[in-house]
Amino acid sequence: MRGKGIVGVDVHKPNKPEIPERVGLSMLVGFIASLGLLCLVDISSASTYLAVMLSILVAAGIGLVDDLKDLKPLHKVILATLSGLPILALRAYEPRPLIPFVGRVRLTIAYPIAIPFALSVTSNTMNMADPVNGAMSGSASIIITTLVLAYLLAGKPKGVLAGLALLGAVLAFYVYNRYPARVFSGNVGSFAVGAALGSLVVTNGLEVVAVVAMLPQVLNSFMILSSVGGLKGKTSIPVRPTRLLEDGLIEAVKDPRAPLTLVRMILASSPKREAEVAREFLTLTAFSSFLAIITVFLTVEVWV
Amino acid sequence: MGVRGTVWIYVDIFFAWLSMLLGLYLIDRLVDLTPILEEFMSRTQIGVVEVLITALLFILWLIAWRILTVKAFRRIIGS
Repeated sequence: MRGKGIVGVDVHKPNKPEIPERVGLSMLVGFIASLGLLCLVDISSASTYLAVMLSILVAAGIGLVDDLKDLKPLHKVILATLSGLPILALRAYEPRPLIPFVGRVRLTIAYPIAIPFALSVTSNTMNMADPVNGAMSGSASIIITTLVLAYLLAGKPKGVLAGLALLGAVLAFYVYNRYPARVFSGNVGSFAVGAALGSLVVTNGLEVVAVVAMLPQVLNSFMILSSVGGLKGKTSIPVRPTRLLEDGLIEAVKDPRAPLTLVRMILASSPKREAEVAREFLTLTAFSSFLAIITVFLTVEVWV
Repeated sequence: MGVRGTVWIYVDIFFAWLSMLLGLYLIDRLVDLTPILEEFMSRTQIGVVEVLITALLFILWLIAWRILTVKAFRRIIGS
C-alpha cells in the first residue's frame, strides 16, 4: 500500500507519520478464506456461512467506495443497508429472538425488515469507533470473543464456528494495527468488521447480548450523532473533539460545539497519551463484554 | 460529583445496562397488553403494536441515557 501511495496520516503522533491505509482488505481475505472453508466442512450450515460472507463482501465494497470517493454520511447509512440483503435472500435468520426475562419473541414481519438497518448500524458504528490506533480492531476482537463464548454457553455450535472464523482475521490484523500502528484498516476494513459482527448476530441470535457487548461503540456513535445534530461529514463539523499537544498528549477540546465522542469523554478529566486512550477504549469494551456474559445467563438456559 | 478519570464512563455504561434489563423485566412482569388489544386486533397487528411500543421505549431510554451522559461529561470537563 505504501508503494502505491495509499497512506493515511497518523494524526495523534507529533511527527505525523504516513501509515499504509486500506490494509483492512487483508481481514476481508481472512474472512472469506475461513468462512469458505467452513462452507466446505459444515455443509449443512453452508447457507448461513455464505450469507455472512456475502454480507461482509457487500459492506467491504461500500467501505472501499467510501475510501475512494468519500461518501456522504447519509449515503453510507443507506448503502450499508444493502449488506443485509444476502441474509434475507438466503433466509439465514431466525425471526424469534431471545430477550432477557421476556423469552422468545415471534417477530416474523418486523425481524426481516430490521435486518438491513441492523447491518447498517453495526457497519457505521464500527466505522465511527476507529479514532486511535487499535481501537476498532481491538474492540472488535473482544466483542467477537464474547459472542463466541456466549454461543458456546448457549449451545450454538454454528455461531461458535462462524465467530472463531471471524476472530482469527481480526486478531491477526490487530497485531499490526495496535499502538503504534503499522497499518490502518481504512473504511473497507471497518465496514467489513461491522458487517461481520452484525451478520454473525443476525444469523445466530443473542441480539441483546451483542448490543450490551457493543455499548461503548453504541455510546460513541449515538453521542456523536446527537451532539452534532444528525449525520454530518467531518468538513461540516466546526470544531474537532480533541487536539494534540506539543508533548504528544491528546487533550479534550472544551468548546461545547465539538462532537461528544468516546475519546473526548476518556480525555475529559486530563490529557492522555494515545496508548492510554487506546487501552481505555479496550478496557471499556472488556467491561461491557463482561456485562454481556452476565446477560447470557439471564437470556438462555446455559448449555455447559 | 467527586468522580475522577474515566470511572464515570464505566458507571454510565453500567447504568445503561442495568436500566435496559430493568426495563425488560418490568415490561415482562407489568405490561401485557394482549388481553386488551386482542378484542379489536388480529395477532399480527398486536405483534406490530408491541414492536412499535418497544421501539418507542428504546428511543426514550436512549434519550434518558444521553441526558445523563452529557450532564456527567459537562461536570467532569468543567472541573
